[in-house]
Amino acid sequence: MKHFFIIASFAALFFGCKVDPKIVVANSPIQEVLPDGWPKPVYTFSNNPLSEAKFQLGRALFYDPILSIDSTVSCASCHQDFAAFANAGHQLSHGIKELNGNRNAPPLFNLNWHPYFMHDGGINHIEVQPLGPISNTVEMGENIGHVITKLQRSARYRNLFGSDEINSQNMLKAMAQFMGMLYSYNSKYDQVKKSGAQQSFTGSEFHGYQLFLTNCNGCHKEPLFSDFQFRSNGLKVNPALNDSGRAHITGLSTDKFKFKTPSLRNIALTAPYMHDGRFENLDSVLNYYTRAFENTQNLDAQLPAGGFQFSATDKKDIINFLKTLSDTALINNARFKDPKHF
Amino acid sequence: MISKRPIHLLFKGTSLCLLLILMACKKDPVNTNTDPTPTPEATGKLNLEFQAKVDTARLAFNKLYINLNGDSLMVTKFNYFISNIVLTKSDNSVYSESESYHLVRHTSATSFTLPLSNVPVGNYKSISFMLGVDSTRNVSGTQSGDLDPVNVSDMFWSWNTGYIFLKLEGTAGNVPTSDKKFQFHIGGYGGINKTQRRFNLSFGSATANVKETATPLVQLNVDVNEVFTKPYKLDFKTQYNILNQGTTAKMVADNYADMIRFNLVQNN
Ligand code: HEC
Ligand code: HEC
Repeated sequence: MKHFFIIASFAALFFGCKVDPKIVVANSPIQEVLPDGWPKPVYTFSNNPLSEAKFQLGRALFYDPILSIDSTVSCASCHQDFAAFANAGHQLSHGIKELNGNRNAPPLFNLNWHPYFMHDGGINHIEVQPLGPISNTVEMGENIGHVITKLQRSARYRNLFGSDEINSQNMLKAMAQFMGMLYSYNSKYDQVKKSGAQQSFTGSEFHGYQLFLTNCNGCHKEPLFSDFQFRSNGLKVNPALNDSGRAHITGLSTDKFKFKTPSLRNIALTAPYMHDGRFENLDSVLNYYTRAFENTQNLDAQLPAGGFQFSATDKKDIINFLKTLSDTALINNARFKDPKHF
Repeated sequence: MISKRPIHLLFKGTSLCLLLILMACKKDPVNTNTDPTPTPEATGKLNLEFQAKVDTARLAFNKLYINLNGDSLMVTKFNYFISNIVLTKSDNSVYSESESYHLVRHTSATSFTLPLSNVPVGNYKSISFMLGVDSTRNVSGTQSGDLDPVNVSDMFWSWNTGYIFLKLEGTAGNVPTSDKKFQFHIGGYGGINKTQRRFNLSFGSATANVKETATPLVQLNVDVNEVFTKPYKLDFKTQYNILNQGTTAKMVADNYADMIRFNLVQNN
């Protein structure tokens, strides 16, 4: 990732006239390089200038169970680096005191392009996102005021905040820097799509890609593999959860059972699937899409009511294509891992 | 300019480097701020008091009363945001408070005073403000002061981002649950769900005279009765938990749209 995140060494010059050189190093700005041909991100850090110190503070907070009431659960408990920051093997989220939530933890990457967050889009800004899980009684069960008090008492965080005041704005902006920097655009697919590419798809992957473009790309739109719209893909309502999706936020019956289209980048790493984690693997997902859709209330017009007509080979090829979206540069990036300073 | 020379030596030869140094040092406040600051406009203070009422009587918490619908009820909590305050002088010039966001939290005293400072000296004839928080501040990420969730965590929806503009809680005889509790958490910042309401209140023939040496008091009455009664009569049998934006919240907002009225000015 070094290639993409150039830490501008000229930083020292900018601050050289007035700041202590030790702080200069810690605060060096991080320069992002965004992939060619991508749309403009929604969140651009314009009010939150990227710096190494803030990124590292955000990283420490993300991995620290201090954000939960009984210091048992961190963001990373449910968003694991090796699973592209989804929760491997958990259908529903698992929070403090062994309590279960009612949705599957989505992966975290390319978040700066999301116009809103959560499966129902209820959260409208990356900076206020952490307030959701922190105050959720079955996730972290905390209160932001109490979190700030704990951070103020901690020598480690007094050091990490440096000259910045320990308050909610500085905490949330630092977390937005860490989350926002979780870019994923180094998959095999990305290598193949580059001009003058050294890599190419196998025959099966290529055929899968063609089927994908015809049948899936209307919603799981390239290059982010989501259009970030609310849509129903016809899943039967799980009676134990009775999740109305977007309608939970808007109260509109036309939004019932619609969920934010998930990105399919890193999809092979993030099982189980769908908002309630009902499918264990990609075979089950593809089988689902080839049967008649179960819940037709607000079913998206792009989906044929009787299901897609895919042969066994088609399904295998689509899955092989989806596997080219796995980005090992994301999951292996040492900068995104637990700083282990507890 | 102490460090200009050492840095230059360090990277001598690169013109890019020189450019950066120039940019860096131009930002030095000591250099740019040579003009004498203009004499500021004379300012004073104004106290804005919100008095919670039930019709004409002062509201008391945990005290039984009958509202205009004939329902018996007790109030245990009454909070709302007041924002974007604008004061108009007799000569029609206006003063708009900056960072104008205030949470009015009626505690047991039920009267709440906002001390407004930096108000330009002059005679003011009216006030305008919003009940609620403008949509911009609901969609712009982390905020400070009275919008910092640390200070107002009970007035912020974290699962459906946005401030709760008005919170009224208590018990009422007609609520069909055993604890008889009602909770009105009213919010919704945009589009069809907007629940902010603007108040434009004239001080009648009076003016609030702000001087450097004198702080006037503007007293407003806030009638809780209005929340339940006009134009929508709320029935506690069905409407006792309003915890999200939407149609019912909008009805309550239309009810509170004339809840706050001018009472008196006291010039000191
Ligand atoms: C107990 C498990 C759990 C914990 C702890 C947790 N999350 Fe989540 N996270 C989830 C679930 C479940 C969702 C989806 C919730 C929904 O849609 O209602 C989610 C959604 C998100 C999203 C939205 C992603 C998207 O695609 O819309 C972000 C960002 C996020 N979490 C970041 C965090 C951060 C930061 C923390 C720590 C402050 C955190 N999470 C703690 C389970 C968890
Ligand atoms: C009409 C829009 C639409 C089309 C077309 C569509 N999907 Fe989806 N897809 C969705 C939505 C919405 C969800 C999330 C549903 C949920 O969580 O309840 C989803 C979920 C998924 C998931 C699970 C993602 C996760 O992180 O849990 C996979 C995998 C998937 N789709 C693959 C495909 C494939 C492959 C195709 C083409 C054969 C396809 N989809 C076509 C809208 C669509």
